[in-house]
Amino acid sequence: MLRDAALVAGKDLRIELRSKVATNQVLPFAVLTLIIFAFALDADRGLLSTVAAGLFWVTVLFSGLLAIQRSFALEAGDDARDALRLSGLDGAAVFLGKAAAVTVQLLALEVLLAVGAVVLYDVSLSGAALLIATCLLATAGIAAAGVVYGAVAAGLRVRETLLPLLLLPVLAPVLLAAARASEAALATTTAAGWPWVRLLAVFSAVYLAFGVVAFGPLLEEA
Amino acid sequence: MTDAPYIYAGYAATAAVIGAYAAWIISKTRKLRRNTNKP
Amino acid sequence: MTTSTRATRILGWATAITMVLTGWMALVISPADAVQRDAVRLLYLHVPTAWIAMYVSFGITTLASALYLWKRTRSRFWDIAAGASAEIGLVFIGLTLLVGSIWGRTTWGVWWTWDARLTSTAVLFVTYLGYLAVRRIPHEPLARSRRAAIVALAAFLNVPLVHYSVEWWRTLHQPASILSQRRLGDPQIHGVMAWTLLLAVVAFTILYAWLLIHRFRLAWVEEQAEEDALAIAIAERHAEADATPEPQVTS
Repeated sequence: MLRDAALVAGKDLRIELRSKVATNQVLPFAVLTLIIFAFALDADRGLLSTVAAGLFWVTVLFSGLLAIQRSFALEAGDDARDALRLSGLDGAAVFLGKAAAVTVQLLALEVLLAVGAVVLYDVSLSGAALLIATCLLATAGIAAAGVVYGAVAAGLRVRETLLPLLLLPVLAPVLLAAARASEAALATTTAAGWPWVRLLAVFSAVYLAFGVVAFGPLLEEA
Repeated sequence: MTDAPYIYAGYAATAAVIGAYAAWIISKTRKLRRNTNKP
Repeated sequence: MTTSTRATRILGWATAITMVLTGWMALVISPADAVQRDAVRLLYLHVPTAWIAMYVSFGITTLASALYLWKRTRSRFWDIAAGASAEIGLVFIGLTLLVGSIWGRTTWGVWWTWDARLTSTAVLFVTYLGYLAVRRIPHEPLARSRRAAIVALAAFLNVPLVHYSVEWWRTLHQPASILSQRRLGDPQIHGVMAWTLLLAVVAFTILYAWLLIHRFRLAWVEEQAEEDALAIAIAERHAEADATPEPQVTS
C-alpha cells in the first residue's frame, strides 16, 4: 500500500512540477498575504515581529486551502476520478499519496515564507528543532484533514466556498498549537513549546487514521 | 431582581428563537403536505 | 390540517408544562446566587441548551451517521435523523452562545471573552454549520448523504481535540482569582438551585424530542417532494418526446 501511495504522491507532484500552479499562484498569494498583513497592522515592525508566528500560520492555512483545492482539481477533468477508482488503488493509498504530495508542497512553501517573515517582519529564527518539529507535524495535520475534507467538497459546484467553511474550524487546534509552539521557539522559551508539538502529533495521527479509513467510501460514490 | 432587563432579555430571546423555529418547521410541513396531497 | 400525532401531542404538552414550571422555578422560586446574584437565573437556560446540544443532539447525529454508513443498517431513516438532530443541536448551541453572552455581560461586563468554553462552543457552532452546509449541497442528493455522514463522524472526532486544545490554551493565560471566570462559571449549586437546573434539563430534553420528531417529519416530506418533482419532470420529458413527431426522411 505504501508503494501505491508513493505512486499517487509522485503523480501529483510531477503534475505540479510540470504545471507549476503552486509556484506560480499559491506562492505569490502567500507572500502577498504576508505583505497585506503589514498594511493592515500599520507596518509597526515591533508588532509584526511579535505576531509573526500567528501571521505565518494563518498564511500557511489559507495557502493550504488553495493547495488542497488544486490537489482535487487535478482529477476533475477528463473523468480522471473514475480512472482513479477503476485503477484498483486502495482508497487508503490514494489518501496517503495525496496527503504526502500536499505536505511536500506546503513544507516547501513554509521554508520560503519563513525567509519572508525574517525579512519582512524582522524575525530572528531560533529554536530550530522545535520549529522543524512544529512545521512537520502541523503540515501533516493540515494535509491529512485537508485531503479528507477536500474529498468531501470535490466535484461539487460549491466546493470553493464549502472547503474553507469545513476545514478552518477543524484546523483551529492546529493553528493554535503551531502558533504557540513557534512563538515559544522564537522567544527561546522552547520548553513551553514542546507540549504543543505533542498536540500536533495527536491531531495528525487522528486525521491520518481517519483519512485512511474514510477515503475509500468518499471515493466510491458519484 | 438585579440585572432584570438582561435576564428577561435572555428568557425572551430563548422563547422567541425556539418559538420561531418550531413555527417554521410546522408551517413548512403543512405547506409540503398540502402540495403532495394534490393528485 | 394537523401536523401532530399522539406522540407529538403528548410531548408537546409535556414540554409546555415542564417549561412553565422551569420558568417559575428559575425566575421566582430559586434564590439569587451569592456571587453572581440574579445572573445565575440565565444559567438555567444556558447549561441545559449546551448539554443537550453536545451530548444528545450531536451524539445522535454521530450515531445515526455511523448507522447510515454501515451497510447493514443503511437506510434513509438514519440519514434524515442525523440531519434533523444536528439542526436542532445547532439552534441550541446558538442559544447557548446568545444566553452565555448576555450572562457574560452581567457577570464579567463584556459580551464576549476568549474564555475556553465560549471559544470551543463557537468553534463547535461553526463546525456543525459546515455539516448542515454539506447536507444542503444543491442539486446533488447522491453526494449529500454519504459525505455528510463522514463529515459528521469527523466533527465528532474534532470536538474533543478543539475542547482540549482551547482549554489548555486559555488556562495558561487565566490568572486565578476569586472573581475569575472559571469560578463564576461553576457556581456551587445546591438545594433549590440544583433541582431547578435538573428540571430545566428535563424540560429542554423533552423539547428536543418534540422538535426532533417534527423536524424529522419535515425532512421526510421534503425528500418525498423532491422525488415527486423529479418523477414529474421525467414524465414531462417523456411526454414531450412522444408528442414530437419523428422527422420524416424523404427519399
